[in-house]
Amino acid sequence: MLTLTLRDLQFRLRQFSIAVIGAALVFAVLLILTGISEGFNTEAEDTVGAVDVDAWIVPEGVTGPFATVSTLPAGLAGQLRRGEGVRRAAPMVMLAQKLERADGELVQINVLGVQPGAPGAPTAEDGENLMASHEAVLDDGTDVGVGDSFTIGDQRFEAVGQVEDRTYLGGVPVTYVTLRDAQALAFEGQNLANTIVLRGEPKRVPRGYTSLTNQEVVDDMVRPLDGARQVIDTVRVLMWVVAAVIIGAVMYLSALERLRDFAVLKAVGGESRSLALGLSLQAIIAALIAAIIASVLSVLLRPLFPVPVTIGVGAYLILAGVALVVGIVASIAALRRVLKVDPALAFG
Amino acid sequence: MTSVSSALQIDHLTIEYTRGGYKVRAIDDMVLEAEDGELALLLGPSGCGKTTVLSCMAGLLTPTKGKIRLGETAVTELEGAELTEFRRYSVGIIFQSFNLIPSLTARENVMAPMRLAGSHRGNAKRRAEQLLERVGLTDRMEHRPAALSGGQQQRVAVARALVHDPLLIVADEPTAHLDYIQVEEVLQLLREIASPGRLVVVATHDDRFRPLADRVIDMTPRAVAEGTKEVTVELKQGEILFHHGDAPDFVYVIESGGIEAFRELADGSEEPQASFGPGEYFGELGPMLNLPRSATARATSETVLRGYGPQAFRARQYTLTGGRKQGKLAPRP
Repeated sequence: MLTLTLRDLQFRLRQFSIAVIGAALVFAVLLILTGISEGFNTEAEDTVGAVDVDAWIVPEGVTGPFATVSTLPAGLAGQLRRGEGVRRAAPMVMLAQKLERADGELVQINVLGVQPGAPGAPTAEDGENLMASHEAVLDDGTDVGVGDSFTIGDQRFEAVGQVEDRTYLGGVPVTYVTLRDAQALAFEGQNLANTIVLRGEPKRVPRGYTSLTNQEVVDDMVRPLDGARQVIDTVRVLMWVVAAVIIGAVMYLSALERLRDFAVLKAVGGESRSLALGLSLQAIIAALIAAIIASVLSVLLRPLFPVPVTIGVGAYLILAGVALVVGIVASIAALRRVLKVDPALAFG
Repeated sequence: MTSVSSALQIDHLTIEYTRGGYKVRAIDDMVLEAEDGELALLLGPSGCGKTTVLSCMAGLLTPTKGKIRLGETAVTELEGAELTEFRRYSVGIIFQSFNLIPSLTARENVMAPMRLAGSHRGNAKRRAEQLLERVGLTDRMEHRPAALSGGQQQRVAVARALVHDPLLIVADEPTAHLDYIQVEEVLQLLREIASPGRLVVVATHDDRFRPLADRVIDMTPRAVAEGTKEVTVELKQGEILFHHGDAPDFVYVIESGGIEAFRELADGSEEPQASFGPGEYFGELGPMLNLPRSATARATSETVLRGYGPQAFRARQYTLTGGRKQGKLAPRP
């Protein structure tokens, strides 16, 4: 049966290739979409992880400092620092802004205001760490190199360092500035912050405030992207259907062409079950080859997308599993046709 | 070791099926016997039901009535797994258009029935090579059907049919697509394989087979009536003269009363075709061309008809009025 299946694939190579290439393109887009959806999470985890703290203090009722606009006095950090279980505490400011590069290009950014050397301050991967006012450390996605000047609002900054993979809200790069510069941009210089970040485990939080874990902050960070993720999920389901239809259509046409062959095989004692198995096997082989090609294609296509695309090993394994199911589902129409073939047709 | 007989017995076989909504009787009460080791010929024109009979013998079609027995096996009583087993091991089929699987080589085509039956690959390969050698295709084993001549393809089909060493080989028009050189090769091969323990039944319209056959079953439809015979038939109202699918006998001329012609549909209803009155004739094509009746004829009132054998009818036809269509016959001289 396997010989028959493989020989037929060889014999109808062109037809088979069309199904495989069509399905591979669909699978590749599926992988990219999965990567984009997953990328929303990964970038949030990377950015929150880079702050390297244990807790985030925000006003009570606020679900997180990134997606909700709320303020608290920056001086609260001193009070918290004296609390039991707290090793370090520092205020942070975050705001969405536009950066104007020296070439006049505007770049959408997320500004994080931090105290140099305190929790939340970045460690530059290239250049120097943030030390003084009007200095900045930027994600390389801004295309601002170390030593370049740029402006945010009416303030001029100099890039002293660069970091990688610090984005959130769908690939918007982070620009670190000093707390005071950020307060000037966000609060007209008032000594306010959006959150106080802590190292250690605070035993008590002042009345009117609440402590969030890193995971709660990540969840809050990706919440504005829920709509986009739902759209992606819907498109993904549709893409699976398209892939099944592509493979199914080719398999069905191939089965129609081979009705006489199936009748002959039944007439010489072949069981419907084993013939059907061969047909399913063809669809599964087509889907799995398409999945392999799609995996390679997705790696090649990933750099073309301006948002983080995170395709984990799990996504490839899921693709293989779902491709298997797609292959089986795709062959159902052809199977039904083949099971109905009357062996007497061989005489026709 | 006892040898198994391949004697074939067909008792009162009737095969009806539905086509285009009409009930068609392809075979009507056929009786046939063939002995073990014979080459039996089902000879007749297209449409006479040869292939239908072969399908029943091979267990691919269930007859409406009648019995088929091959050796000790009551073929018409087999069902399910037993029937699959019978098709697989007791029958080899050679098809008119070879019906080889185009994606497989000659050897793989011969191996296919064995592999489908679960035989080990090595055994199937050895058996296929042995049979292809026997049919003279040692140097064509790796060729696909498209690279083989018609005669070579048919020899591969013969090898495939022999793969399980079956009791019965049925061949449907095995020379239909071959030139005369290839016909000779295939005829010789079929003659060779008809040997003790194996019956070969060939359905063909090719008269060249006749001298090679041990038994010829002529399936050409014949008019029941002698050509020159004349009869008078009297029918009461509603009485049937002949049924759709019956063998032809006479051309009828209505002397008094009337006849309605209709077709019997598969759902039991009737589809009117024509009606005839005194002096009109009908049903001439069946007896003249040896075709089964294409409609049922029923009396609409008390009716008297005169039936003419085909020759008697033609002798009187010069007196026809109304050309070749149904018309009136001039009074008898």
